[in-house]
Amino acid sequence: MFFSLTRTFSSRSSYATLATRLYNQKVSYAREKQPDEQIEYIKAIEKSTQNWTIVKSDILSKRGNVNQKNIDSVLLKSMTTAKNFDAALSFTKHLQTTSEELSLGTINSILGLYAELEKTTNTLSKDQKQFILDSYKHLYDKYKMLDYTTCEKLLHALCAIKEWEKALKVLNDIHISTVPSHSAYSTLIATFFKLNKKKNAFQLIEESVQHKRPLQENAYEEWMNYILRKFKDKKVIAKHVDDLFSHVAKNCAIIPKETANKLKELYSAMNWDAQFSRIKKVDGQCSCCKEKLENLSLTNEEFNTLQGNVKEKLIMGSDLFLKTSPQELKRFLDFIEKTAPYDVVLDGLNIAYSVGMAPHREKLSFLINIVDHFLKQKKKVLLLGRKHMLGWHKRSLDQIMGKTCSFFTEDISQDDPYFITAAILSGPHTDIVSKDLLRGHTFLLQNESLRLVFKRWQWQHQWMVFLNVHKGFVVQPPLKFTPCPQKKDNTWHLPYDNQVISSTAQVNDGTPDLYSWMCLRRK
Amino acid sequence: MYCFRKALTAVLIGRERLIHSKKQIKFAPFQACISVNKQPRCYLSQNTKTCEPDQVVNLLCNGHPELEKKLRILMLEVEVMRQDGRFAPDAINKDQWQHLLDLKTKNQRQSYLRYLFKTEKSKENLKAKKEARRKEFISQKPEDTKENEDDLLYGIQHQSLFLRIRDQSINQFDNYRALQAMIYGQSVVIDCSYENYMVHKETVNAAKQLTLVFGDNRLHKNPFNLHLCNVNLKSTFMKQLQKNIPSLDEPWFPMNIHTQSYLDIFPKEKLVYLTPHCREELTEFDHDAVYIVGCMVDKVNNEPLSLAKAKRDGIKMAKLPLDRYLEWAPGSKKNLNINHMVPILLDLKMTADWEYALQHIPRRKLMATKIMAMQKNLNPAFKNGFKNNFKLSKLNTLAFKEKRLKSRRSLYDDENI
Repeated sequence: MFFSLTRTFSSRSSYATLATRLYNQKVSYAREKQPDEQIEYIKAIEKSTQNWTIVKSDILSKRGNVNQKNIDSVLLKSMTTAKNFDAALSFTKHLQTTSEELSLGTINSILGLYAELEKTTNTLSKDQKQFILDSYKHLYDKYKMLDYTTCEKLLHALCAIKEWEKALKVLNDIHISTVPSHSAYSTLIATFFKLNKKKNAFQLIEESVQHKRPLQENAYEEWMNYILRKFKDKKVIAKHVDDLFSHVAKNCAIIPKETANKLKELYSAMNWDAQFSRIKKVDGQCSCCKEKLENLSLTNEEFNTLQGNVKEKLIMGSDLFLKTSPQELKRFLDFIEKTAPYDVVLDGLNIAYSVGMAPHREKLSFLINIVDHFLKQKKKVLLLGRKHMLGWHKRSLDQIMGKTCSFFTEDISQDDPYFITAAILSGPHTDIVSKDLLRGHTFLLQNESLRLVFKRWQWQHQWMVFLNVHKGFVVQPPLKFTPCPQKKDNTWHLPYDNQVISSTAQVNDGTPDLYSWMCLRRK
Repeated sequence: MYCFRKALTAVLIGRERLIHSKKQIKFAPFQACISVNKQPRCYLSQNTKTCEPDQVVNLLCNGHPELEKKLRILMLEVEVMRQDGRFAPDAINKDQWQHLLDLKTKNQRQSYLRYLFKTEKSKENLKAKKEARRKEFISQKPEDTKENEDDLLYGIQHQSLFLRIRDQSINQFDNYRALQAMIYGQSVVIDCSYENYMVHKETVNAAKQLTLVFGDNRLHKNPFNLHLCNVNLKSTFMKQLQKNIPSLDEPWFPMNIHTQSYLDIFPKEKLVYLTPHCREELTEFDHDAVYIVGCMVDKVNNEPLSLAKAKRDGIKMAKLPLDRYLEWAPGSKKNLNINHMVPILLDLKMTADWEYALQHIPRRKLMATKIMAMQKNLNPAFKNGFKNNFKLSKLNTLAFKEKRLKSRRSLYDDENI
């Protein structure tokens, strides 16, 4: 059977190509890992006090990467992650009594243990708190400047005992060698809310957004707790929860699942309505409240910045010659000036190739169908392609070029940046037709807010065409709504991160997950 | 015996030429313009042992306070990693510290340290293995015995009929061809202007490939006259190349190194840039043209840099007709290493046979290999049979080895043509 399969492979190369591609996706070349004896042993440690000297010598006698230098730290870390606190604490005691001076790595692990202990059980003894303060002082005296691992551990431990001033200093020290982690920012923000320091918290939230560190679940939770603790009146609470939502909406963030659950609890405690829902892709209707999501069209200012950036970032980039040539760019700009504005810009090659590897004439006839479809709606169409298209079927080509404006780039230039630029330069009402998700071009915009604006523009203006066996072709219009967190009347719609759904395979069609949203309504 | 003598004379001629080579190169059309720093050469391996941290700080920072602060923090970072059970090497030398300082993000540093850790461990293991083997060897080695007092001992270590040909002689014999090509051979330009677009690992890789190019070129029956153009003599690339080929800056060295552009050296209409991104295919090898190969490794950055360069300079472009002669596996990239490009051109010049020249392309990129691998993976019986059936496995490995050998052999084997 196998050989017949092979024969089909070699005779029809395109099938073979497809088959290999499919096959490659399936096969995972996971090599079986040899279990590390030392790690196995450490994992098997019971939840009780043991004779640690024997345990240590046992581990060291086995093969592995754990050695005399790092054994204390590795043991502590592994027990902390396994939430094996009794054993960890007994080992800490053993370390503090026996060894004369703790190494930096060991101190880090102990700090990590205490932070975790405070987080889960909330029982730090006075000695343990004193240890954190002592090691803060001791480490800064000894080294003056600390590395990021030590800083992060210190920060978490200091937050656990609510020493926010020291924690803030540590956070600033991390910046010398790297950007602080998500959890560092979130923990400190949570601590600020715990201590009712709203102003500091907001400052830090601002900073974390700048460094692309969106908030984590614990920060959101403490934010909500703060609001509930501080205010009792329903209206005032609603106003302050709106602050939280506006922060989410402004950054187009996706809230974690735990936070979504907490929000739901909060809303039901207030006797308001909160439901998990889904959004209909066709018109943006929420399955829960039957309201439709709004289309947040670009403001003039936003569109102007997009218009100002697109030529520079997409076509010129770091080197004009990478994608085109100066002569061609000039030819293009002259052409736009003469013929703009358009209603629709077609990505000629992308549409033509939706047919697959068919003869050129079929590709062109498909293209004609699409052009006619838009001409019927009395729209002005611009066709963008490459010059090698001109060698295709002459008559069909003349037919198309008679009806539309058309611009063809050189064969060694890229046509994608040109069709995007043409659409954006032509004005805020111009649409594009392409199946391409334009992710590479979104990336090239470099600026995060600009990317979001471009993404919104794309949702509102991108048509897609698909080949259909029965109807010839299907034209998919742009989204009628913007899939971002938004408020309408007294209702908030927010997407949340549902790990279950996102782990299954889905075809990425450019829209975010519409199945995991929250509908939060106030009465 | 005859051919042996011939070889020796050739070497001698070569040597004579080598002695006079300064003069000859001056008369050659394109003067070698090597001006690499003329430091006294060091014939000892330099002491690369790790220095003390303070010493490193002094050497790298020159009392620059900001830099020193950062370096101290990085040192602490590495120390913590060691004590944490994360991957960090025990010894780090000055250059490696410098590279760590240059890296921008935490993750880059971590992966570099992991790389250093792994190489350190593998070196340790190799050393231990060698030591074990040496001990075994000493214990096993039988004593050479003489029957009578006056007997002569024959053998490799003792007296033998054959003259020993030293590495140096072979080296000079090879260089002879390369030197001849510098006078009479066709020029090929290697454009070294892409260093800014490569990350450190790629730069080191490119230098290695260029070393192989030099070796492959001089082994060939009819080598090219290699020109490195747009060279920045102080760059990491050049430093690495110097490390690989210590005699690079000798006046007799058979390779041209230019800091100028190829436009200043060759007439523009003769130049042809070989780039995989253009549309025109190279159908015939032009013996008059000067082909340019871009010296870059584009694993990270896959912008069409060489295309842009050729466009800006306004010179002809061409790509190899890869699709015409080979069936490519899906997903394999069609940009080739420099040490594949040059041997392809070498063989193409000599045979004008594309099928033959394209043998240098690694087999893993082709459809046939992919299908073979699929068969092996899909069919467990085949897989087991592969392990159990000795005959089959032997056949397979032989065929495999032969394929690998073929591409190298064509460079210097006469019968193959």
